[in-house]
Amino acid sequence: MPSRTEILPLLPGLRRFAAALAGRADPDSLRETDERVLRAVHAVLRDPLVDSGQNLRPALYGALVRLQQGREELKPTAGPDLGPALLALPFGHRAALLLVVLEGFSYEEAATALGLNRHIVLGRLTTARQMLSRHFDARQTHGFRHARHLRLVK
Amino acid sequence: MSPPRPAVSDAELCAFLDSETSSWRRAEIEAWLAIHPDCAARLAGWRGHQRLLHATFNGIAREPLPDFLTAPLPEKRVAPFPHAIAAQKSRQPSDEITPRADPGTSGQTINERRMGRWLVLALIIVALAGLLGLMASGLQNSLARSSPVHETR
Repeated sequence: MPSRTEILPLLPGLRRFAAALAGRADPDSLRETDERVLRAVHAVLRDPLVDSGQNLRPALYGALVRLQQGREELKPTAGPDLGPALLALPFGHRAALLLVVLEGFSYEEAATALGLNRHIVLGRLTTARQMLSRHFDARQTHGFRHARHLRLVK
Repeated sequence: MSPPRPAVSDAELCAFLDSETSSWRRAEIEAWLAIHPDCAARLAGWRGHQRLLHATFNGIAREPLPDFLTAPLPEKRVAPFPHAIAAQKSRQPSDEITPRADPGTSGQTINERRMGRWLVLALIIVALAGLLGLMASGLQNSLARSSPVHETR
């Protein structure tokens, strides 16, 4: 079972990831994502297969992803652009993107966390980046009204 | 005019950005980017997303952790998994019954322990079969011995 000194250094990144996965960055909504972080920690502490070694980090993030999956709150608060752009991505694509880009996971680690293989992680990352580009490009060319419209459609 | 099939796909560009490309392919992609400004612009856009993500969310990772998150963490390493303890308990009595079946199991892996248990089971079955055989042949002998006695009497 992993100990306090092993889990503590991972918590700041895990909180950041949980908030980004929900598309939220304001302090008020952190409580909600923090509770999910807490449940992910409990899930990992109960899991007899998680040791304190290399698989602790992917296990913690993986548990968080599974807890958040299918529990989508469509109330992005992370900036006028980024929150909606993130929530426009399919959940699995968003998780892969944030693991690699925000949390600095290698493709192998991300694959372990998400229970996928490396090629699917790469495919999701590519699609996620293309979608983000399209989202921001559309916002630039059509102006703010269009972006708001997109947000309402979601 | 764009070529019919791009030599560097978006997936490769993606792996390049995340430093997941082999070194020889890296040099090729760098050369490709130098003469394909559209790809270079796409890559720059992706780098921009990366910066935006960090700028937006890094503040959360710098905040002090709330107490309710840190309180339930176990202070020090608590021992092993429940099934490992169970395996250890079930191993001890079997060691007493057949001490020569697996000597010195302390440093063995779970697989070796399982094999040891199967070995013990196999030995017991063989011993039982032998015993049955002995009993059967003993019965036959006694029958064979008892029948001529009946005849003589």
